[in-house]
Amino acid sequence: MTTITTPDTGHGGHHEGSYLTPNKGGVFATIIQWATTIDHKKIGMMYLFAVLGMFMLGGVAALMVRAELWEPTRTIVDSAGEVAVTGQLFKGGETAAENYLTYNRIFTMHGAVMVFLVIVPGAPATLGNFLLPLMLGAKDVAFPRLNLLSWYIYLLGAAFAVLALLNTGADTGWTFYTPYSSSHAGNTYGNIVMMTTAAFILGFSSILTGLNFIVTIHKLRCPGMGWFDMPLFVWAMYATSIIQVLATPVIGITLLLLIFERVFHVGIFDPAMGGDPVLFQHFFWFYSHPVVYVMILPGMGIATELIAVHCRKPIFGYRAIAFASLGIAAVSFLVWGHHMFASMGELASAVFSALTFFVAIPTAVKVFNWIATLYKGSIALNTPMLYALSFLFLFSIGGLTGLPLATLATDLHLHDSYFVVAHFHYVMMGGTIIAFVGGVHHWWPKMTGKMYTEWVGIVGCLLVFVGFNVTFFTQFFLGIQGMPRRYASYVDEFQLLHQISTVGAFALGLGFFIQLGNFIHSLIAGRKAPPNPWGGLTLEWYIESPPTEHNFHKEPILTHGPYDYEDVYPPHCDPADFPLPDPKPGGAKAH
Amino acid sequence: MNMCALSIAQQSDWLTTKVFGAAGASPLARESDAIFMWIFWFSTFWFVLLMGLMAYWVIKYRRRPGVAPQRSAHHNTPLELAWTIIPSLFLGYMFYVGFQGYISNLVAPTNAEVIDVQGRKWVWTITYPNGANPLTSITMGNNQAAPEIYIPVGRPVQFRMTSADVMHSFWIPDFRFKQDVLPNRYSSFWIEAEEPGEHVVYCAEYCGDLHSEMSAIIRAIPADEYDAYLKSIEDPGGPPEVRGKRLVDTRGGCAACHSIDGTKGIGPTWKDAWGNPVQFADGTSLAGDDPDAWDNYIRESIINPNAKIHTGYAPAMASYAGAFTEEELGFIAAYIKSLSSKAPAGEIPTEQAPADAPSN
Amino acid sequence: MSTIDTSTKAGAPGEPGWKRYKFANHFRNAEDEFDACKLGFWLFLATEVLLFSGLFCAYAMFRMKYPEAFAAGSHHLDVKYGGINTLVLLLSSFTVAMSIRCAQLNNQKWLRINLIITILCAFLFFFIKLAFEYIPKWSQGIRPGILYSNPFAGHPQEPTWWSVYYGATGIHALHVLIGAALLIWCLVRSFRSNQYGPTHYTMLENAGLYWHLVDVIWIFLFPLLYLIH
Ligand code: HEA
Ligand code: HEA
Ligand code: HEC
Ligand code: CUA
Ligand SMILES: [Cu+2]
Repeated sequence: MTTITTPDTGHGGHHEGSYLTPNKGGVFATIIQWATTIDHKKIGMMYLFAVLGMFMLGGVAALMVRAELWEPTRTIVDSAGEVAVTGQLFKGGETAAENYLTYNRIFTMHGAVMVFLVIVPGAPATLGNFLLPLMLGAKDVAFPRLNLLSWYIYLLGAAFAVLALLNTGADTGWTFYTPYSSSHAGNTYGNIVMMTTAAFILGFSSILTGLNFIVTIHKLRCPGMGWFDMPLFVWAMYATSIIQVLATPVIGITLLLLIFERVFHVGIFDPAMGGDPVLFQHFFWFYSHPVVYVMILPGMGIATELIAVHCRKPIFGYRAIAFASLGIAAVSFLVWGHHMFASMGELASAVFSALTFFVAIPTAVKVFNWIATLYKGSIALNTPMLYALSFLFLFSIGGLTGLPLATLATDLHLHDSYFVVAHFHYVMMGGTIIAFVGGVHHWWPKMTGKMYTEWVGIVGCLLVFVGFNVTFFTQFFLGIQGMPRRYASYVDEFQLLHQISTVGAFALGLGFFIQLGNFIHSLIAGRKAPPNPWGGLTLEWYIESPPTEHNFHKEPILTHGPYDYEDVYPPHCDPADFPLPDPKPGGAKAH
Repeated sequence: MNMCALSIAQQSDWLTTKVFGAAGASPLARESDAIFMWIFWFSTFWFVLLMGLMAYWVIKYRRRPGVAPQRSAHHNTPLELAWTIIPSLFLGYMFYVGFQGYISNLVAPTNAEVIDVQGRKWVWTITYPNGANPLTSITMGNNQAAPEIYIPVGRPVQFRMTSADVMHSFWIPDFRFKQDVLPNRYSSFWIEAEEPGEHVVYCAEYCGDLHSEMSAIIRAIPADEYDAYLKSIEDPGGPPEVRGKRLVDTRGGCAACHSIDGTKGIGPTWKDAWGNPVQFADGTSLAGDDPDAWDNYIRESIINPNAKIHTGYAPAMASYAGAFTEEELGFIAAYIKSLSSKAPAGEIPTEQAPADAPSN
Repeated sequence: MSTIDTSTKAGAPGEPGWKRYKFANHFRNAEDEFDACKLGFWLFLATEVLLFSGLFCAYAMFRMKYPEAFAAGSHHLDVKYGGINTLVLLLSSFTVAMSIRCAQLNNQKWLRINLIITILCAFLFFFIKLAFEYIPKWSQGIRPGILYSNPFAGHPQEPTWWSVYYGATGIHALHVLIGAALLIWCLVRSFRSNQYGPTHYTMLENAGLYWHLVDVIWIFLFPLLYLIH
């Protein structure tokens, strides 16, 4: 590939320590340093911890949901008292209705936290922030201060959400459907506004991150890196960012109007005032369908990297995957109506059903390509790869169960049942979160400079895999047999399946607990990580672990593609023994 | 009806029943199941194929000391085209059968029996073609009573649905169909029961606290029994408080919030309410000794519930303006009055005769 | 966009700001930085357009649903004020373009004069909107949604029209104010340190783009609200 020399524009001269080095001024100075940093790596790490914290919050709520559903009618928040874990927060009431209200708040909080605070910012803001400039060979994202601003906007949004929660939470479901959300005059009045405001604010954070990434990818690729020399994770981030920028403003205006509706009763969504609740659904899903691809595309990107690196194989059909990412992003804007088959007219339903199938095609292409990449590889069965394989397995189930939902005749049965719940947990939890956790393992050595304990990682991964399937596979049957979602109580026939699901959820929680312990242990007592523990060829592996403040000592010049294992490693050599590229001061030269 | 889909699925009848718990209650429902099973086999095929390859290659090419990855093609255009186009064709077909099945559920035969359904937090109210809306109910294992809906076997029945407050959704799992129930708008679909039997109805759109208790039961009964039933419920008349009770139970769904045995619900109990003083949230109060004032308060509470809020309660009640005629409001007031020991003698509650529901 | 401020200052202290400007060090050169800022800003403008597109959709839907209410409501709007405001915005778009041109030609004096005219136009627009439209209407009870209390509604759904009207023009007016704030910021920087000149005028250019957007959205709102009955 081409070689371009450019003048050294920056701090090439002196060699600083790792970006994690604390400020010499002490703890306080270090905190200030982090709080005002415009370094994409630090911002990424701050996001990572915030997102993991929020994931725990959402996860605890999920476990409360599962505990509640252990028995058909009794509630964990029964008349006797309160939920032990949260003390005063979730008070039991005197009547069934008040107890159910509590359940409704818990699942709303679970859904809203998981979607708006965990999975949407999840991969882009954490791994994306950390890796994008590194993979492109850049010093930072295009607008570092804007990046810091996004982080603070995220914090503000999270604060609003937590405030709503402390104030007993909203009970609308994460979809905020009108007229329930706009007219319900119960004691959750202010909380609904607060929750909506939180989602509104978080939207800005998402938009700014996406905007930043698009410009970064356009303008900051290192010399020698053409569009088709970018790692596929970057392609995935590119497609993700496009959706973030183009879909989020619509939810912005929708939520704003919802707040107006709630506070001033302007009558746009409330039928009692001549408004149209279905209009709200159109607006909501115009954003919230594309956003499910904001969730999954980074997951797919991560999985692509993991598979390539741990198989030491060039990705099969690189361009097909890159274009499929863009294809998914494009088609994702045309299918929102498939969430509304039960409330729209026939014509619209037919059109949206047909369009929905188009989105399955590029996705299927990707799956085929990933599987084909395994062929004749050298497959390491370590923690990240096991997560990648779990991802393939679980995401395929999740995606394939999207098909009967896209089919009109069957969706009118399955809509708003546990079948849908199972479908979206398979894609979001089994797809995105699993890939994300795999990615965190994969880049953990790079981010922290520490290795984690391999066997603990594997045990955790297997437990998560099994626990996950036990939890959610049962829910497909629940749904088909008639269990509606968002139900605090149910008829006795469903109890057995619900109990199996609950047991699985706690196993799943244990799995994550083990992983968490593994990370903490690694931070305290982990072995020091080499620059390139897996033998990856993308640029982030050519620099120290953890990287220095300015990433590269000198602007790197790309000399090989991201997956050119066959050319970089001499033929017939044992990859495990091959000396890995070594970061040398003054150059991240490959090869 | 789609022959191809059906023929594949027929071979797996046993599995269908296992998956769904029970066979669908009508030909349309079974066709939907057949489509589902067809998608199921389609998905299983690809899933097993892909996961099989994955497992096989992961084992075969696992990393071993001294063994390097082998070179292989980086892409293969004919193969990639094939795996793009072939699934696409199947997906197109999937859309087509799905659409057919859906449309047949929506477009009711012209001779269908039209039953009006009104959703309201958190009850279903039924109005039969002759305008009668009696309510008999059963308890379905959870707390709240589920209204019974009688339909004739062998005759198409169309549900014409609308909501009085927020969105609900009318789902009959045995018939594999649902439609959302929206305020200010009608939606509808139809079913036809082949045999006498019971079918559960759930509310499938989140509608607030008691969403999970908002169920109903459809009883399919022989057509002649159904006709007789319709006759028997035609304007039963009776003294005002009995008619009031009937209105409250059938059209109002007031029991979701108001008890008549003194227990506190979402709203105040009606037992001994009439004639007793009420304290309002805005500091004013109702003395209770003036009977007309109490009757007016009941009327106002129904038409404009948030005008005066009983202290200790959230303003949770939606307005019923337009739901009842003036005459009917009078009946309801008479009924609530009859529940109070303060009511003048002679207006002591008359127990309503057990509903004249046919057995089945 | 904001990366301008991360620049490391270079050049002699006495020189004008635009000569002293040095691009942020994660860019390869000033041109790359300029392009990046422009691209970023265009994306941002796209999100703004999408934000308003939600309002336009709501407008279209309710117009179809309640055409009479919309006609009735629209009759209450005075084309005169709408028209004057349109001219005000068109003029300001022209002057802001001129001030960018002046920056490119290093004509600092006219850069500022044009900028000042633009800012004055912004406030004039806002003043007309407030003094001749919002305040009189509001005091007559012509308000959005449930707040509507005018006894002479031409149609039961007229409040919905006013919700759309206040929603759309209100959010637009907010954008006018944001735009004015951006332009004032540019003006201050121009006075303080001659920040904009032939080789560096990124911020001014972006503020100008933003102002054009505000103008364009009004160009759509004006006929939809005032002219179509
Ligand atoms: C990460 C998020 C994510 C992803 C990626 C998807 C992916 C898909 N989803 Fe899902 N979906 C959700 C999150 C997601 N969904 C959520 C959150 C909801 C519920 C929201 C709510 O109501 O609360 C939902 C609900 C939902 C509905 C509405 C259900 C209802 O409420 O009635 C529908 C209907 O069409 C649907 C369809 C699809 C389809 C067709 C895909 C496709 O993209 C899937 C494509 C993937 C595959 C097809 C599998 C992989 C491919 C192979 C294994 C190869 C072989 C395959 C073929 C040959 C076809 N989804
Ligand atoms: C990213 C998205 C995401 C994720 C990851 C999850 C994860 C889980 N979800 Fe959730 N879910 C949603 C998004 C998500 N969910 C949404 C959008 C809804 C719809 C809401 C609505 O209807 O409005 C929903 C609804 C929903 C329901 C249906 C509720 C209803 O309709 O009544 C259920 C029921 O089983 C459920 C269960 C679970 C479980 C058991 C997990 C588990 O996978 C969770 C496992 C995680 C943990 C257990 C925490 C991690 C633990 C540690 C890190 C260590 C341990 C720490 C401590 C114990 C302190 N979810
Ligand atoms: C969603 C729950 C709900 C439903 C359904 C409901 N109510 Fe109420 N009702 C309330 C609440 C809460 C109050 C107390 C607050 C208030 O005064 O508005 C109340 C108050 C009342 C009162 C005043 C009683 C008092 O002691 O202050 C009357 C009378 C009444 N309702 C009648 C009815 C009738 C008749 C129906 C059915 C046609 C009905 N309600 C349905 C919730 C409900
Ligand atoms: Cu009615 Cu849910
Ligand atoms: Cu979707």
